[in-house]
Amino acid sequence: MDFYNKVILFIKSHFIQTVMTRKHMQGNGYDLLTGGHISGYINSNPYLAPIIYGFLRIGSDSRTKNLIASASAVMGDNLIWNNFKPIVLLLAGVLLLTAGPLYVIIPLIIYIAGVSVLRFTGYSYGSSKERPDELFEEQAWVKSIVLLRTIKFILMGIIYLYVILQLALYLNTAPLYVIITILIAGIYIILKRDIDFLLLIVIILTANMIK
Amino acid sequence: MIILIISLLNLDTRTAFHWLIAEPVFLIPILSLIAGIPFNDNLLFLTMMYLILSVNTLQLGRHTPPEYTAGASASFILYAFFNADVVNAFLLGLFASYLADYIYTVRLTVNQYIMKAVKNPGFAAFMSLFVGFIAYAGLFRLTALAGSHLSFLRSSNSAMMPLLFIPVLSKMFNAKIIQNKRTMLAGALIMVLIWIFIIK
Repeated sequence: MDFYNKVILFIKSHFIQTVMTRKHMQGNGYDLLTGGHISGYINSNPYLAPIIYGFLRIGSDSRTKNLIASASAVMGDNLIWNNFKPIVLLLAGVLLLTAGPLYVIIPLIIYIAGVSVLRFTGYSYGSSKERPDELFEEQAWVKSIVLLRTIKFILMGIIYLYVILQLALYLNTAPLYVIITILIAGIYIILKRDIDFLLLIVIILTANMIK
Repeated sequence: MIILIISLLNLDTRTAFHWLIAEPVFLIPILSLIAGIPFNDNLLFLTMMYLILSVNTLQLGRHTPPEYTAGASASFILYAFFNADVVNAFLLGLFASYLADYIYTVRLTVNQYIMKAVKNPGFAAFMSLFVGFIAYAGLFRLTALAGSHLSFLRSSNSAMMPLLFIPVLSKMFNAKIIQNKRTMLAGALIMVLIWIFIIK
């Protein structure tokens, strides 16, 4: 593929989820990306779409297509959504606390550059592979995930402690509400459930009425 | 004008690009710079609350969590332009997050009709982007209307601030942190140093 077509593919890859539907998921986006070469039901990671296109460029049966799409979704969840994205967000949070609001631009640029490289070089990478199991099986992918996960939890430790310290600061001014907060959050943590939004509204309105 | 900019930026979350530019930790500081609003402790509070919610939220296929990016935008609009109390801005923002998720669900159906009506995939993408933009603009216009008409949003019991930590704490500790306890403690140690030497 020449440079011009690579640029066109790169631009189109940004719209893979634009016409998402329940019936075809990203199928319409792939239709746009590949000029009708790949269509129908497909659910993958949006950043890895050029890799899938590169691999399926010659044409494959729907079983291979679904296999590759599922593998990319798992890899994308582990590599990007679960690790790279949280790292970038948490790093921005740390910079916001320590350096100031202007510095959040740095991790944002890192993220955009990272996913742009993935989108621009994805087609070449995908087309260089012969078998489906070669695509995401390389040690580099696995090692990257392990490294990113470690960084993510270090950054989580930093931000989580900041939040807890902020809550602790209210012990001076509103100790009763801090205790209520810990009790309610504790119950939901033990039950391993997210707090119901309506319950939160009821708690706060009740507290407001008591005032 | 700012509503149009925020609506455009929100398309980044689930519609196109996926550059994270609408994530609260980027959106709130950038908007405060654009609008010339000082980034004070209340904006920092909103940013950090939405950051935790956003970090612990993962969209998996058909499962769509609340759209906290839209919620952060709504909270920013209420706090920065309508002088809403930070407690109310956060709560109404959370509500907007759930509304934005419903909008997303509706858009999946609308896209189906667009694909039936328009055969050209490029034009269909453009139409879908436009519909998405209008939907977000509507949501944020509604937020602005609430901000200008509901005067009680400007007053609140500030002692209730700790209650806003409830959803954030439950999100934080429901993540898989037990298996990574030691790594997180290393991070917490760094935070202690940051707190002592930088924040204090």
